[in-house]
Amino acid sequence: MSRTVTAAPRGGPLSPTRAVLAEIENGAATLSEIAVRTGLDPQLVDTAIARLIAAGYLDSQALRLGCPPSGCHSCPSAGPTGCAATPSGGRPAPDGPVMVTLTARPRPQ
Amino acid sequence: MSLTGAHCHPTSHLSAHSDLAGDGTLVALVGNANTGKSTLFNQLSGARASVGNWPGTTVEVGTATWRVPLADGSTRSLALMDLPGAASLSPVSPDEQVTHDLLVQAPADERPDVVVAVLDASNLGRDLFLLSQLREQPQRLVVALTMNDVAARRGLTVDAAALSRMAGVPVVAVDPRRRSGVVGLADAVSQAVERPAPAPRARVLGLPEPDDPFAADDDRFAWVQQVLDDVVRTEHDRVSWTDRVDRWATAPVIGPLLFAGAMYLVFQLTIAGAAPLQDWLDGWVAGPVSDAAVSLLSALGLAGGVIESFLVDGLIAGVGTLLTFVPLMAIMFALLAIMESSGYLARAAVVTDRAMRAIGLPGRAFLPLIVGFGCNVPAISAIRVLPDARQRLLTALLVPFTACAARLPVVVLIGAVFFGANAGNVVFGMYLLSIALVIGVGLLLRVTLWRGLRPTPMVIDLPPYHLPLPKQVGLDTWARVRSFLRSAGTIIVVVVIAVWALSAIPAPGADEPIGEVPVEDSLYGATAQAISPVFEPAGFGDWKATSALMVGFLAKEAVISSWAQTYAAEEPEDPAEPGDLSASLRADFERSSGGHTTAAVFAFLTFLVAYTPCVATLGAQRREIGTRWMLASVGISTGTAWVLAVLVFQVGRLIT
Repeated sequence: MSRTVTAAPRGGPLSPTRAVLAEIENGAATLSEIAVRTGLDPQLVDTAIARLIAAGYLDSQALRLGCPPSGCHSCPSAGPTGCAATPSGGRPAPDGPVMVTLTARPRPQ
Repeated sequence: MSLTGAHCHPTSHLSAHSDLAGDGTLVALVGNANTGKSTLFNQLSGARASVGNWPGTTVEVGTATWRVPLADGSTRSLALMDLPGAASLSPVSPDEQVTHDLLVQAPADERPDVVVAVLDASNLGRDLFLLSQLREQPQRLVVALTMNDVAARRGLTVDAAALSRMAGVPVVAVDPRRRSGVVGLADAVSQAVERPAPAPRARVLGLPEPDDPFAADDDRFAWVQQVLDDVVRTEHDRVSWTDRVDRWATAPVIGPLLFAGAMYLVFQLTIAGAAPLQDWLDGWVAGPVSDAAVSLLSALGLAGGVIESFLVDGLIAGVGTLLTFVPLMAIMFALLAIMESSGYLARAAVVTDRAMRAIGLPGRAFLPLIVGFGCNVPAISAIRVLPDARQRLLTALLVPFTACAARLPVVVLIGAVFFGANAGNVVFGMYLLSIALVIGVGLLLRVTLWRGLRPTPMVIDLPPYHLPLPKQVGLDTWARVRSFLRSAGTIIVVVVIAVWALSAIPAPGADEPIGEVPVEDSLYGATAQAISPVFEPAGFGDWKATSALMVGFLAKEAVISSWAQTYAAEEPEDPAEPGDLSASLRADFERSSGGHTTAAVFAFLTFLVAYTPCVATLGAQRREIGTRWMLASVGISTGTAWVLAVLVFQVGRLIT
């Protein structure tokens, strides 16, 4: 693996965290795309996103075709404990896709 | 108190290491989840481990005595602790809080004497972040490198010596499942205990800006990337199967085409696979079931009366016809579950999101819209995930245009009646139309009422492709079919009873008594006839088509049953004749369209896809966006549906 670390916080190339945030804002749709665009290791990008989620700059949500995780309890299919339209009360698969979005928290320059 | 007690309280004796099992030396295993840490713990402790809760929490911590063989042939007993999985020392969960409390917060004399950082060689980019934080602590540290075989299969080689040099700590490759490396790890830990803690690692990036919130993490990432560059060798031609497929599946142009192709295949397989079962069920419901009901009623002396009309023309004709669509739903749900379980549907999410963003719609609205293709009601509830009130409102207005599963049987029925073998193409076209409506109406609202709305960037963390699990596919399919059947058991029965009752009540001016009035002279038929002129410009101004749309406003699941009921009641002398519904539908559409049947059918389908989904969706909209916007949604969707249906028919009649 041969990648360039660009980590100057200001006045130079973007730091890893800022580079990841910038690529999300620029429309990168997958972690692989961010890794390619930033030149960072894909697993490192994964970690950076986890850190940004923990810091409140990003939000994550499991993605699933079906009802929302807790069910809405408002359609005829809804059971007393959740949504009948999805198994396990609509809980997403543990290894399923996760949607990550920017939050409204102001990002440092 | 011994650490091997059933419910240990580690902090109570951490302050006095002499109270610990063994010689009072505490060794803690730290690492991410799924690194093989607990397997290593079990291997080191034999069968002598116990598990207890960390004080004041429900977090489980394993403790044991580790008998380490020494060079002189004797053994040394160390207290071993298996801390819960932690991705970092910055806690975001109770599990990570326990690790943080012990390794960072606790006074120096209460911390473990040696920390063994268990790193997964196949996930080093993830696990080195934890090591970078551990190396900021004044702590004796040994790295146990696991999963080297998995890394090798992925074309990765980790240079343990180089890692040791760069991290400044001993690194031992271990495979706890095969007991390899365990002796080397014991030696490394024994030696580490005797040495002072190494100095914390130096910063990579120099002095940070004083107000830079990312400075600490950026320095760690920079260190991790440096270590990865020097320690991990990759076979460059080893690109994973997932990456190879994703190059096409998520490509901007090819990706959507592949998704469209996949969905086309799904609908074709669904229609072709369900057809024989549907025919058999249709014959069974219309034949033996109806015959048996008639015979039973005759034996009870109830033949020819109101009860027979209700049971045979109402319940059996209505619910029975809908039940013939169960195989179709089951096949489609199973195919969608396979796509989801294999990981492909997540790729579809990427290409769809990209398309939405390209036209300026909020990417985050994707989730409710995807849910809407199952059922619009929970989709409306799912708009709560959107942080912006304007985005929530816009999405709530777009959700009704997503073609929910309840509309599928109606489209399949019409497709089968009018287009035969091409029914699959019709269903596929309905979904394309639904997506086009979401995009088109969304664009229209964006350039009018929602000017200045900024799209929210979104990233999807894609799982690797894998073979679908039959159990998961089966459970998914059954849950959705069960949901469909529940609807049949609740809404449809209620609607069937209501339609049957309204069909039995004479309209004002009709001469026949209750229960003997022809359907077209009943309250039900008269109401539909009063509305039907509205649909004449769209080519389906027949009152029976209108009655189906009226019922569809309540619940799309009930459209087919009410249709079957209407036609069965219209021909009470032969309610069990298979094929009546098809022939009647064809005749009515031909008559109402003036011979332009195909154009009228396409117009009807367009209206069906675009107009208000059901009253339950309206209820959800009222709850989420208020009565005013709910009424606006009815106006937007029904108005759009009518304009498009008229357009389709008027253009279609010119070319058909």
